[in-house]
Amino acid sequence: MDHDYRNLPIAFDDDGTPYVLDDDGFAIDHDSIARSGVEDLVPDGAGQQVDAETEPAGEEHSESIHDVNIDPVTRVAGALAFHAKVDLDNEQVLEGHSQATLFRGYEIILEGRDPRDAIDLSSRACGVCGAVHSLCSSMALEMAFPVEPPPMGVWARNMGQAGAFLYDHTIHLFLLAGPDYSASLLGESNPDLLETARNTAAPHADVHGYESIGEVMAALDPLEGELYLKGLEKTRDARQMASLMLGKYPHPSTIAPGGVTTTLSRTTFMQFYSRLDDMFDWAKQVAFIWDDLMDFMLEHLEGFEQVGERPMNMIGTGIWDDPDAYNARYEDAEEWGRARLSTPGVIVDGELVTTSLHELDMGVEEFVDHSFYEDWTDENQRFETTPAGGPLSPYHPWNKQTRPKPEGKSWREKYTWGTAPRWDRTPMECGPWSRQWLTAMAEELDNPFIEPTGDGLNMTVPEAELPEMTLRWDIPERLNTAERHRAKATHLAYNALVCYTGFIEALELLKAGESAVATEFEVPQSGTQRGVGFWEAGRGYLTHHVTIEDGVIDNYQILTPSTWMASPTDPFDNPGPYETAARNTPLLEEYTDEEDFTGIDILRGIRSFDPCMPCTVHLHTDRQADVITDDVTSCGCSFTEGDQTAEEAITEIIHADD
Amino acid sequence: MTDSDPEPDVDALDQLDGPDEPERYHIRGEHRGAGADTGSLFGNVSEKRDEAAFGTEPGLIAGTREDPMLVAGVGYPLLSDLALGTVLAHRVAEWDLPGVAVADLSHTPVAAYQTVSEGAYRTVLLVGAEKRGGELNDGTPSENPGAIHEYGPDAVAMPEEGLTELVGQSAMGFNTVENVVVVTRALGSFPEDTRVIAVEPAYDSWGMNVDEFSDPVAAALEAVEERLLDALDDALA
Repeated sequence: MDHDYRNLPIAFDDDGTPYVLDDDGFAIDHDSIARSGVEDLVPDGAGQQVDAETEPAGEEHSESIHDVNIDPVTRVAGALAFHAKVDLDNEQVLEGHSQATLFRGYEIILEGRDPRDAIDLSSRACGVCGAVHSLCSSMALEMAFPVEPPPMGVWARNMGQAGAFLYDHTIHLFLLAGPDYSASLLGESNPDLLETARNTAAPHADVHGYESIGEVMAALDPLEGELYLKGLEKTRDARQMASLMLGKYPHPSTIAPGGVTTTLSRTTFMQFYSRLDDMFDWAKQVAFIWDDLMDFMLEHLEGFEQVGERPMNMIGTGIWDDPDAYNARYEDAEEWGRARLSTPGVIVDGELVTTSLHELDMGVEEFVDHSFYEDWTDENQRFETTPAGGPLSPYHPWNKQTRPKPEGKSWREKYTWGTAPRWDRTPMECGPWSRQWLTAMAEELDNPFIEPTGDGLNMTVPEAELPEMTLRWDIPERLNTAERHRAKATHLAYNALVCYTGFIEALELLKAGESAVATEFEVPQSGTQRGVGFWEAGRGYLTHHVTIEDGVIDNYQILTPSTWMASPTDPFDNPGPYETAARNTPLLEEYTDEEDFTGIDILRGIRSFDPCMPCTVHLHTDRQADVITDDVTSCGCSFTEGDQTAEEAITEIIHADD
Repeated sequence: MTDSDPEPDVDALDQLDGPDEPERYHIRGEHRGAGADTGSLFGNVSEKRDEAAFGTEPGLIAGTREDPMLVAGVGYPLLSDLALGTVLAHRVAEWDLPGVAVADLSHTPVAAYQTVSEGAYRTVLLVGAEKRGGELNDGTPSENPGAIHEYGPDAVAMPEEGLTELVGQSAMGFNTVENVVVVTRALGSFPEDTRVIAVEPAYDSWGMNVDEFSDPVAAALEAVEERLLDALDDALA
């Protein structure tokens, strides 16, 4: 990092050693905080200027202004709800609030347990991110214990995770987001656009086989379209790739600090490769299908470039280690982080500001001003510094305590179970696009198939039935729905090439007799140990921060990509990424009144982030609904009307069978 | 849906040469470390991994996809009574029954559909917990905890709306017996001889062991095993 943090009171001396700037330290001063640039982003965008004038929830508003509640009904794997206030006459979104409607309490469940439990319990945080949490957890533990995995163990993780991403991204592109661009949906929301699509040739028909954009849209029709069904079928192969490396997917039982316990042989790798070979062609086709589709949308749907648009603020922990560099030590994290097949770092306003995992970690804070939690900073700060000596905020995950308190429910006060993570007190988003963006700009990656060029990536995908192709991904000029999808589609190739790299490296290791996949470890039974796992989910940034005290978990904090992106407004009045994206989204659908308004543009914007459980989103307009009360009391922890605190409820659940 | 009373056929056990008391695959607690009152939850499952083709083609933990019969356990480990299908699948796998493939469908309904459709099974027995009434995963009991229901897949009503959303959800979780039936019927089909055997849960939230069953469900386990054996016996005949 060649300059100090913009908002945090951390500076660097001439030797590059970080220190706290002033006596006030990390105390929050609203006046000194730079805004994230939301107001300046899209001069003609909808909504943002109205925000300050918007009346409090529940007050009378004009005939054309409607509350829109996007309220998923999820019970097992997590839930996101979204409240928007829309002006149908002026085709604007006036206000947006992102809500996590469930308190799941993993941090509380893990406290006091054997550290090894964290691997299997935290895995249950998500069904589609079915290995990332167990892997991230194992890495946090291997830093704390410490133990270093052997090279084959590292490649098994890399290949299993890249296989899982092929599954994850395919699901999102064809089962979750794809239907938003299908002929059946557009026939209702934008019939003229569909007609144009049917008469527009697809530029890359020679690769994917669809002569017109209309044919692509028909193939995206849910349940019966060719691409929907092919995507579904590809998830089988990709899941099997992940299972071959990790034993089972989701929720593998083979993950341990120090490696994996999978039995890997030459046969395993050949089975893996037979599926990978098919993925090469699938990756080529998917990249061009979405390239053609998004180009069409941008050209023919005026305003689509503003749908889901945000400032170019992105964060990524990086993923896929180089076993020659990775040693599980925090002190060396800058080196092994930069050696990853996806480079970690932070981009602020389109500029790469760091690729250091130390600087990334130091810059992270979580705020709960609009969340159903109590601030914990009234107690003494647990850790003043990182294990490498850098200063830590009291709001950093290693200092965070989870104190549920579902009170003060209103848009002005508290409205979500999500927290507001910020890097350098700035909202961040993440995903396949940030992986590619960071890797491209950093130019740290040295790989025979993936070449970062500063302004993009060249990905050389081997011949299968289709010939070898070099896919070019350019860093886009805007960060919006179209570019998130385009990047995710090309990221299939990136993942396939990580798998291919691993396949080659693993066979070399087998030849050399280096087939060990795990190193034995012991759980320290006394003293204090700390660890952090930096390991991305399909949706991007993921960290697990653990503190172990006398052999049991003292504190465990999980920070997921959807926590970053579904975050509420922070104490500096910066809305969360979904909230900003919704406010910047113009209403482009064709509607006559509230009755036939579907909110598809807001949905497209939010779904482009691939939020957890996006497909569970259904949207309705209801001027009477008090979404705040309805959503919060539908939480899976059985809260009643405020007589029971969250902590009591959780404790009851945990000890119900004792 | 139709309910039927269990009529255990003890002889079937002998005919199929399965152990009277199959060894349980799950954790008993001996692994728990001195420094904690808990321990690694899945150690024994990991040990068995070398023998079981977890999640790989054809997604089975016993038998092969050429077998004529499939026992498929739908479940959620660590969600108390919802783990029923998973635990039963591993019990049946340990019986090592000839001609019987076993799948642990503790993943997603879409993956379950793919596993069921991967083979050319003549008979499929789908077993798991099924909550009736109330919301799933909120810790409240089903209408009649421990009740066993047996029915064919056609008895499950297909949703008139929201099928796309349900399939989308089911690619990530929502792993219930009903959703496995709906997704499989939406995307493909079951063999004609398919039976669902479901048990109503008493508790469907966190359990800290794989088989942390409530009393009513624990009491129903033996009857469910007997029904499975009866059904397999019928299929063999």
